[in-house]
Amino acid sequence: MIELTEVSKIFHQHQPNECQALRGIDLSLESGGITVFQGPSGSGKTTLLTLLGGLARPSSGRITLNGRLLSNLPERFLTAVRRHTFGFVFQQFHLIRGLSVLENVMLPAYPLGRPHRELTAAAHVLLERFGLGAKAASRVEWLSGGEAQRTALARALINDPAVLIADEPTANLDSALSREVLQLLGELAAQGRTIFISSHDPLVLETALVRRVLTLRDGQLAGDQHC
Amino acid sequence: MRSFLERQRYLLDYTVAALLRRKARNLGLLLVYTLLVFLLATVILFSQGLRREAAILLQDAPEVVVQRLVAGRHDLLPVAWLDTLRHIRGVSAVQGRLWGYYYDPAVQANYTLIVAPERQLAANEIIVGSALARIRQLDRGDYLGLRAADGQALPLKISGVLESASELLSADLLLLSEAGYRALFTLPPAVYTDAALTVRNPREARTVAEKIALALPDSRPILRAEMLRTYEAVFSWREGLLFVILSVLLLAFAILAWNQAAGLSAEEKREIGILKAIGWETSDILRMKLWEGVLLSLTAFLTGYTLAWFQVFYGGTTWFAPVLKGWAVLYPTFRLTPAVNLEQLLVLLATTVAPYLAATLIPIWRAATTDPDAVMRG
Repeated sequence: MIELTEVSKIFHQHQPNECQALRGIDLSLESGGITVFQGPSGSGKTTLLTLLGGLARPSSGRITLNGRLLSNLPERFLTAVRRHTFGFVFQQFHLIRGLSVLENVMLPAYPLGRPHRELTAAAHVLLERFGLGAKAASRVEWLSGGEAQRTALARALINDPAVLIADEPTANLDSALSREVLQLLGELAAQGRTIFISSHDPLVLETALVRRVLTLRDGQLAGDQHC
Repeated sequence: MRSFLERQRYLLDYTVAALLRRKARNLGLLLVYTLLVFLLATVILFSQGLRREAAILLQDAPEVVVQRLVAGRHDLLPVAWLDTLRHIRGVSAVQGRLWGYYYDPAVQANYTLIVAPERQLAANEIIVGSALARIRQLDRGDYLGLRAADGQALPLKISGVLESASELLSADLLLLSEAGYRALFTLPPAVYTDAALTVRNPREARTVAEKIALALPDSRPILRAEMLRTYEAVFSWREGLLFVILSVLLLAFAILAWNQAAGLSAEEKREIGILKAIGWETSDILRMKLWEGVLLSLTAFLTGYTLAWFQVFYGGTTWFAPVLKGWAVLYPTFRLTPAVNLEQLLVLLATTVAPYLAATLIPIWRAATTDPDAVMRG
């Protein structure tokens, strides 16, 4: 599904603070199940996820999605691919304060111009599914950590992407809430979605549908374990 | 098409929500913006109103006025000229006029004195403009004492006060009889200040004026159109003066708008990053910000213009009215005729909304080009 060939990422290239986050990654990722990227802080997990999800381009190397070269697509086309293929759950949730839960969930679909009634109905279905139906009109700053994480999950799914990318999804949650979120991710994987998670939380590895664990260290692949 | 409209609706929804979330900042900007539009609109509406009033009043002015010049200056016109003028082809009537100015040290103001034969005033009777009556606290039956050119005191009885509807040009007016006028200025009976001519075909007024200039080489014929142009020029000059001042304000506002847009808060930058990460394009962010600018500037424009319109046409005298009305001490109080001029509205729209949108475009474009992966890294 996603192929990485000799992928490197350098930040602040040719500047005194140049930093090489990834070095020559060769990787083939199949559809379905949960793939976990683990490793210490600064190992390049998040950078790799941003490249996989088309949020950034590699400094060198090639990334293809179902045979289509992503790494040299202009912004407009890359955004279109990202919208339809990837959903993102960020470590800090990154919900927009001042807006309601429902509005936050609908936001990724705004540029697509879906009919309002249809979009609102789809958002309500997702909120019900994640137990947030009663919170639809609440402002996101009033939500608990678990509720905010589930809202972020619903937002990631509003465009019905094939791939869900979750960056440290349990980093800001206690164990009970972490299990709850991981269970939801497991359910999504069971329904056929591909899920990429970056984490160094041992709880993540306990998730039933983890198919593969990739270990990164100093920007390079240090381990590849199929479960 | 439907999808395009839906998209604009979503962007507009988001924009309104974003504006409301930053109430204090946007309200401040809106107030400054509205005030600026209000000031500019007031100047434009007021000066246009004055021009229109002057044009209406000058409709009744004579088609041609003839003055006598001596050494390039206006001099008294001998009564024999009236006959000469009457015999010029195209002239249907000639009327010798008497008028002048009188400086009243009591109120440090100039009065405009005009002989009005149609009023049939007695030698000691006068009719005064309402501003003059107001400032000297005069009413019908009272006496106004003027000092004649020979030093004699000349008590004149007020037989009426002019209506304030015509106050624009009659605020400092004093109408009197020919006898009273000649006594005040000790003028001989065979001279007039100037002559008012009626021409048979008003379109030939210019040709008649040329004939007058030939028949009376030391005369100066003035056409009604020229009088109108003089008023235009005077008002335009004053309007221009105020515009210079207000354009500095406009520039200051553009700088403020630039600053506001360039100094996007960390919260706004974070939001733009999130929107880009969840699938918004740079162009979506630009459109959203454009909606924000359009909403803000149109609200300010409509509010400012409406407030100015009501102030000019129904709210009485504005703070800068003296600048536009003239140098007279006796300021007229009057109502302008309410009107909306589309061309004027568009010019004002272009001079207030365009600079705001232009000033905010570059800083917004810079913010909109934030890398979408900034959110993941932050």
